[in-house]
Amino acid sequence: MHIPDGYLGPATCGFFYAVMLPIWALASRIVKKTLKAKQVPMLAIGAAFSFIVMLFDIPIPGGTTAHAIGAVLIAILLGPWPACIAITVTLVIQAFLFGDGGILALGANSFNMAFADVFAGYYIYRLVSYRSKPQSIRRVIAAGIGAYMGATLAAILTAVEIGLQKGKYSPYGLKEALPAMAGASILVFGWVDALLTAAVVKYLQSRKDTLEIQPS
Amino acid sequence: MKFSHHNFIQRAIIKTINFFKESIFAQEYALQKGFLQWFPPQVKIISVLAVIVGTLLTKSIALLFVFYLICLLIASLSKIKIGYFLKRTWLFIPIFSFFIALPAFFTDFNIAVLFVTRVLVSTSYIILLSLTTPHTRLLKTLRSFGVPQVFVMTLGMCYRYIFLFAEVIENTYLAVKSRVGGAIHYKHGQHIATWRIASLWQRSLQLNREIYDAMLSRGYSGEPRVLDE
Amino acid sequence: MSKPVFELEDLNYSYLGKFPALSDINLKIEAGEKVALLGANGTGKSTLLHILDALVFPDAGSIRFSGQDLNENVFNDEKFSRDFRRRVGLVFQNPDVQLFCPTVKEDIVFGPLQLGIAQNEIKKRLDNLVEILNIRDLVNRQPHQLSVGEKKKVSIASVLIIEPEVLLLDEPTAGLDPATCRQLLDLIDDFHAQGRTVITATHDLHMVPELAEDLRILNKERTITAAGPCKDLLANQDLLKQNNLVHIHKHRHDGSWHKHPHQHSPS
Repeated sequence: MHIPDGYLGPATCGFFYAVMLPIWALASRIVKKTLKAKQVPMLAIGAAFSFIVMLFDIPIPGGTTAHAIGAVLIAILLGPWPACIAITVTLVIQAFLFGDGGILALGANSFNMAFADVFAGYYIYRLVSYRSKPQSIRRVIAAGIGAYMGATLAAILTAVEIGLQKGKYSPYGLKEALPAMAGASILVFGWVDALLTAAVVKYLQSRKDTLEIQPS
Repeated sequence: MKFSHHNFIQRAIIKTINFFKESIFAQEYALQKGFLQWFPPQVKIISVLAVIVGTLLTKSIALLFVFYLICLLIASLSKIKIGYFLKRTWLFIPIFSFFIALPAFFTDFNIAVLFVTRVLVSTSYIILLSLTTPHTRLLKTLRSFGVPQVFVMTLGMCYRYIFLFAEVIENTYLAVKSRVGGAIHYKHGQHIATWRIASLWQRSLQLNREIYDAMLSRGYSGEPRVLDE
Repeated sequence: MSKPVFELEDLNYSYLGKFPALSDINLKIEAGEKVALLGANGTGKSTLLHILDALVFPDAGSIRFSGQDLNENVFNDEKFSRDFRRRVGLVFQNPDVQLFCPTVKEDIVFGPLQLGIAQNEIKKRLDNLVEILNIRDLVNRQPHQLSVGEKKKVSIASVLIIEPEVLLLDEPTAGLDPATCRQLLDLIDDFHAQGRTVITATHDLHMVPELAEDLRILNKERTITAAGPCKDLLANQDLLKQNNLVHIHKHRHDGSWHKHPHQHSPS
């Protein structure tokens, strides 16, 4: 899912930075205004959690690597804007410190995982759980579906971005990248993300002292 | 793609965690007095970015190899053991990328080689940056690029707690192993993996509460502040 | 006479409103006292410290700090909250919780920065503390690189730099080697000698005479069962036994087994 440097051309990288800059600026403004002081450490811990989850990745011929993300989980817990920041932070640490690369590709990676995955997954969760009680099983299922769809969308976007580089930067076109990446997500990693998210939401329902699930 | 061997996940986890702890938190090279250590982080970040852009713009594999040799030269001038540097850079991204590109070697050899070389060069330079700069300074430098305070603070705390989590996972794994012995049935192993993630999450929530208390106790009111230096 | 630093009356607290953690606590601590809250595991010592640090508030009963009632409302007043946080400092049991910044230095200066202490003053205090605690070579390190003892020292520095009037310590000597332990005890002594109040929660009978002059014992019912000077209470074997603070100690001397109550106390 993670696109290292060298996969995307400079124009593509620049384009996604340009798309993400206002999103990041908006996210930090919204979060500063709305995030409760109590949730601030959760932002960092959510990012650390996602980092650990992302460590377990495998390469997908024709695409990049595939792994679970945990983006929708953090969005359900903290809201989509804080989740956008948390996942971006994870990607920055991977890019700069872990040496996974992706400094130039940070904009694209963030667009896929910190924006598209987070927002699509979160709003699918909201839609499916529409007006159900916070304690209902429907919420758990909604969380799973949201995470699954979010992760798959991120995989598809990754494949499209790589596929469009064919010939110049990537040895593969859409024809190879799309089925490989989407397939890995639909068959394996989407489920990992879904199970992870649903399990944690279920766990949270059984405890009242933990962070509230965001009202919807 | 299917995990056929029942111990695969277990071994992968412990290996990944160990490698990760060694690599992300190894800071001994950053403290040496070598060539790159002498440059301010801002300069290094911008130069690395320039190199990566250069890597993407060229189509000459020969030129990429020159870039790569320069990288190795700088690494040795910066007192990094070449054996370590090669291991650290080849694992995982270039090797992953090699596997990813493998089928393409038979169809479009040139672009496949170009692809893997580009990834290798970019990754090597980035790792060079991360090895020769203390991570805390790298994080602080982001502030000077105008990154909003909420990102900088989250980055710092996240970095701090990744290490703690890695240890929690390692200890859970070792605890499970000591209780059930080496061999774990596949089904059981899966169960343990799920449970491990749940327990990691539980630990996260508990940590969140405790850290917030610790912050509150020292006067935190929602507005992060930093010392001018 | 000035008002007591802390005055707790019939205080009750439970987690999530159902698991009792403290019941009917009556406690009065005067300024300049050096008190230990002694109790076996699960008697509510840590919770009591969190109550004293106003991190949680009682379900019933009251807590007063220098005569001022402490409740959620008064902490909504930023000025009061800041003033209280400057005057009372808590060293948590787990230093990994207390050290949440990327470097030791950032952790130490976190408190005073939040509390609006002037930058120059902070730098002066930092310099001074680093000297006293002999941690100069740690300030640019990262918390996860430190040993348990070093983490503990840094945690304490991060609170002492605020220069609170009241220092709350949660199991400060747990897991420390004897030399580090000694250093820490001396530090607490110096702090107390400046006329400040020290309140320590511990289950380590052995440490009590070093940590405190006065003692409050908590029992299984999570209430204070005894109060008085250290030497009186520590001499009362029955009381200590009742509260699971001593156990029969069986060990070998020169090849023969030998049993006696183990009380961890040098007296």
